[in-house]
Amino acid sequence: MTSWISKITHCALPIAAAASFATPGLTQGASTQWSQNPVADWIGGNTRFAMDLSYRGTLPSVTGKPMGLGAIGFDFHHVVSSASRDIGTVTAQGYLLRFDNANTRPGFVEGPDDWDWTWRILTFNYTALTDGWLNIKAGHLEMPYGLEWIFDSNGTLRDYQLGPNLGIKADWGVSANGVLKNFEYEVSVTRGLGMEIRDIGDSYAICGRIGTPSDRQLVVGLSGFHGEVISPGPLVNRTRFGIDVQRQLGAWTLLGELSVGDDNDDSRTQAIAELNWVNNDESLMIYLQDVGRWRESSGKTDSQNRIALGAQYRPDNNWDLSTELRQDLETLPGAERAFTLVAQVRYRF
Amino acid sequence: MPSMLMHVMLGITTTFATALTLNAQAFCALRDPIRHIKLMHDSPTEYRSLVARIDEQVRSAVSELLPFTLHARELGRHTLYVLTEEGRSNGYLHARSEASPWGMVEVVWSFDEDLRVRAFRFQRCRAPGRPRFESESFHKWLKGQSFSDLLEALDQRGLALAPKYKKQFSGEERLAVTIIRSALKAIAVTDLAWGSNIAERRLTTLLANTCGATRFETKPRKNQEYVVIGRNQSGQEVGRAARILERENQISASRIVVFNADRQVLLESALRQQRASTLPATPMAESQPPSTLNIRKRATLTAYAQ
Repeated sequence: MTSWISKITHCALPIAAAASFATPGLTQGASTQWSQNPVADWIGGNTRFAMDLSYRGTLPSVTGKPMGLGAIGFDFHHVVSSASRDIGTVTAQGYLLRFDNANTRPGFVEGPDDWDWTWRILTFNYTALTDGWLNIKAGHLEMPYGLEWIFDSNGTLRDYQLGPNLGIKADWGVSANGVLKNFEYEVSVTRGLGMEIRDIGDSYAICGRIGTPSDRQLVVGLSGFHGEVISPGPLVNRTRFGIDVQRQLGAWTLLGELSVGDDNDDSRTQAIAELNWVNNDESLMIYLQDVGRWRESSGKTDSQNRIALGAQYRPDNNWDLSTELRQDLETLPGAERAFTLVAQVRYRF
Repeated sequence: MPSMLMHVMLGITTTFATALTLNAQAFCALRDPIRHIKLMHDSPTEYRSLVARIDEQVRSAVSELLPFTLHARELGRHTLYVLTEEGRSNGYLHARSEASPWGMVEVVWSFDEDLRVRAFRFQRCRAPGRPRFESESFHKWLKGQSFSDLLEALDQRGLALAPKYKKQFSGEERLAVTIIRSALKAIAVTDLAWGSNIAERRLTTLLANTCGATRFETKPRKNQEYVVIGRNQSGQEVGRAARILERENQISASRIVVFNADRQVLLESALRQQRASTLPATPMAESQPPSTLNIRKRATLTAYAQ
């Protein structure tokens, strides 16, 4: 099975690139006030573009040595349209990352002080196939799983632990996605490589989420994941099933996610609970989040638990100031309980 | 070395960004228009995105039309969804965000070609009173409301309901005001930021509806003003429609005037007038405010200029 998945996902990016550039040339040119010049439409038309600069400092009590993460990136969003309808959406989020004294870091980072270029998202979502119930996305896409599917936490301190849970947060491949009156869904088939591009064998990942519409006050979603995916060691056979819930109560929101499954033959469980509050114009959010993990191996269960109090302040469209206080309540054997202070300044323009 | 590289990259990106006059991330994006279109329109409807920049000029123009204006975070690039049904123009979809005691209320608005409310849906609303405003009776009340109708539903400062509506929305006045303010902003911004893009569609549709025109000839004028000549199947002129701006050479509300073949005004549509309605065939009455009279004269000159 893995060979055909690998073939499909190998083709994903060229197909996405070709489709996104070829489509407007084939379909535009009708006499309207907004599509007489396809080139101008690409450059100055239905495009949103923002530069994104940020720096994050982390101070763990265990080492007392600050770690830093700088990012210079861009965020490109373009709707490809014919004279009368939208055809698809190109999304590109590329970032140059700078790690300073990063003792804990993602697998694709080679050392504690390193530069890395990453594509958080690079996709073309073809939306002209049906009236919305089936769209096809290809490229480097985010795993459709859990709370992260509703709340994009990329570049923020607030996080829904997709990377630690699945081993990959975004991956190269294709997905089918759509919205219907009473539910929305996305199912992806990807390479199981995460940020890596090199071939590491017969890796693959199949992931999906189906949920009630995210514009409601109560949102429930079911997710699933299975694959042979990248890890610091050999490929891991990983399976997860998850349920996520969002309940809005005025300015307060309750969030929860429970995920169970296994890595090879070892059982894994992750639970997230969050309570957050926003002010009138949502320039300020304060949240309390608890993340618990349990792993069972050879009949022995280890667990870890961390609670975090965070604040995010966005006074305008440009600035985003965040801070988070994290306290380990329980750690895996051999690890010290730590209090960690994290702060980030972000500027988009 | 890494530090130096970081500085160089910052310099390059800043220069690049400034040169292209980039904009910040949009504040309220309509994430999945398809579901809203499906739920608000029974028939199959195609949509086409039109992204425009909502800047300080638009914000200032909104403040001339309303007793309130856009929040600083509402500026940026936003999308209007232009709807088409079986090849015919079928209105617009636009989302606006409004601050409330329950966080931002994001409302998706569907307008007809005359920018009257056709339907609405919440994209996000945490308010406990939300179900009351999703009821059929509220949708019925809102359907067909024009900009001036909605403005009359608020007090002079736009902060509370007008006295005659207080009983109707008793207990949920705050959310009612939030929704009405959102509709007013959405109509104003659609006209001010996308008015020239959709002018031809609107003029053509209004000519077809009022004069029965089936063939159309567009004559772009200066300063985003447009004239469309409507003809019947045999090519005979049956009417003209002109879009002019209330204030020349700057972003301002538009006024659409439709004339019949005898150059009489059949319809006048504007945000600022008391009521956008069909006018009598000889509308140049002495009682009209001078500004309206002047604008109508200018519309006539624009429509029939050689």
